[in-house]
Amino acid sequence: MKHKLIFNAALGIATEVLYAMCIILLGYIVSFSFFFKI
Amino acid sequence: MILRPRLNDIKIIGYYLGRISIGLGLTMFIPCLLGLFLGEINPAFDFLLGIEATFIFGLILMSICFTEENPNWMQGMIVVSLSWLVAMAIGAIPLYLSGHWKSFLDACFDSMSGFSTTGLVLVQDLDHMSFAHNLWRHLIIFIGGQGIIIVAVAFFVKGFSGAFRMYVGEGRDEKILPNVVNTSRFIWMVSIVYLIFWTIILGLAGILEGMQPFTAFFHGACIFMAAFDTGGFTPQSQNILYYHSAVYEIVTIAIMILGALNFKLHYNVWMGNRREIIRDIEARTFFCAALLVFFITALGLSQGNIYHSTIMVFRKGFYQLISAHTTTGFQTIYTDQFVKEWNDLSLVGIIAAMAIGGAVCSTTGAIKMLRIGIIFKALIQDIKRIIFPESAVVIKKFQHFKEILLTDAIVRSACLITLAYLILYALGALVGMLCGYPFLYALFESTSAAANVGLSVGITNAGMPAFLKLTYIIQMWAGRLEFMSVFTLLGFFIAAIKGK
Repeated sequence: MKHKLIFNAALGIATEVLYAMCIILLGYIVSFSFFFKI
Repeated sequence: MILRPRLNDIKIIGYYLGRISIGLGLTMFIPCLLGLFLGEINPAFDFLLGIEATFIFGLILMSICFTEENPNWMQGMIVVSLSWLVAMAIGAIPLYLSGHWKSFLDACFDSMSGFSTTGLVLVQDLDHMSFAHNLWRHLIIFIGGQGIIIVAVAFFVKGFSGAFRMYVGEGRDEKILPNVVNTSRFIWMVSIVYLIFWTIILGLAGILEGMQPFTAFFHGACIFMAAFDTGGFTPQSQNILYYHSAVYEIVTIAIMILGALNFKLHYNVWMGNRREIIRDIEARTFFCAALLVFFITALGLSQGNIYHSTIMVFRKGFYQLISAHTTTGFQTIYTDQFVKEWNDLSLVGIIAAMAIGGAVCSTTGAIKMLRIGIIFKALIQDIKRIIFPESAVVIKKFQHFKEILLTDAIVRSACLITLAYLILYALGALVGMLCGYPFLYALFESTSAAANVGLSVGITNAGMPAFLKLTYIIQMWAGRLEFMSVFTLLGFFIAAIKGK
């Protein structure tokens, strides 16, 4: 039970970091498209 | 007929205010011990004096106002609003004694800026500040970000039935767990797990950039506290620009985004309900709003032809945008660059991001994404009502941990708080203009203070008028508490004067 909680929390942290990274990536794509006037 | 407050009301308010003050005083032992450990004797004494003053104040209040009664809604709200003002004064004592602030008002300004997780500063010669004082600056952000009442309930004050009323008074109306004490402890658990995780990453990044290991991890911990609690203080005067590190910038963007998420969302995702991060109205609104306002900012930067590479648009434009949207206030450009390089359109994008803010039940300020999402959904619902035949029944729902029916009461509540924030932004801008600043800059700084952001176009400095400092202090306080407890305090004073 305790192992499952820790595993879920670790996956949760990974999910949240992935969410943040998606926003960062999209921010970079928008920066890129503006710089090259796409 | 308004009833005049009874002596018993004042006793209950005073007693709980005393208890919370002592709880805050105990947190000063952390920088005090760090000072003693590093041989910073004078700073350690500053904190000992602060602890002494806090304990005397708290014990006097507790003994004069001793009661065993629990606070009701009105008393709980007043305790919250007053405890933030008391915390400001208590937190300012060691800051002022350090000699880095020109006056006690300036120290109070920075203290309120820290507790409300704003990040506007009036500090002098920050680069030569002791480790103990620097830790305290960031610790007050950590305490204020979670909530002073959350700290008191989680660690120092035994659970009492009025705790939920105070929890709501701090601008958090969402309970994660059925018990407020457990909710407070979960909020602290998330923060401490992330503190350890991100301090290690930021510390290693600092070492890679050539910093000494102790300094790297100290800066890592401070930067984490300021980023996750969306505060915006840094140990160096040049803010994040000091590090000149792309790794540092990407890591802090990630931490700021995590800090802007609802603690209840953290709970759901950590407990295995990971899909909630793509279903929740707030997470979706943040995703869309961040890209939309960055589009406006990037358009402005593109028109101004300011940055000459993609990476610079990203590191300067997108960084400032996320810092504004999460209400953190980290800067990778100089304050002067906002005024001299950025054009009006890019500043409008940043102001819009600051005004929207992060999630409810997070450490962010401003209107909040839940309310923006609700208003947007209500707008769509009304348009559908007009377009569809009169006999059609238009039902709108939104996902916020469960499917919720969009009712008029929910829309009304969201609109009222949004309106209150817009009025607060406008009032601050008006005072800024009265003090002689141009409209756009006055609006920028006012929104930054009221939305607890901390980005600055240079108006905030030790030389600005005292009246403007007081205005920003009130804005930071009211903005952080989301008005309800502030309005209750005003009502209490009116009742004391006009009541029968």
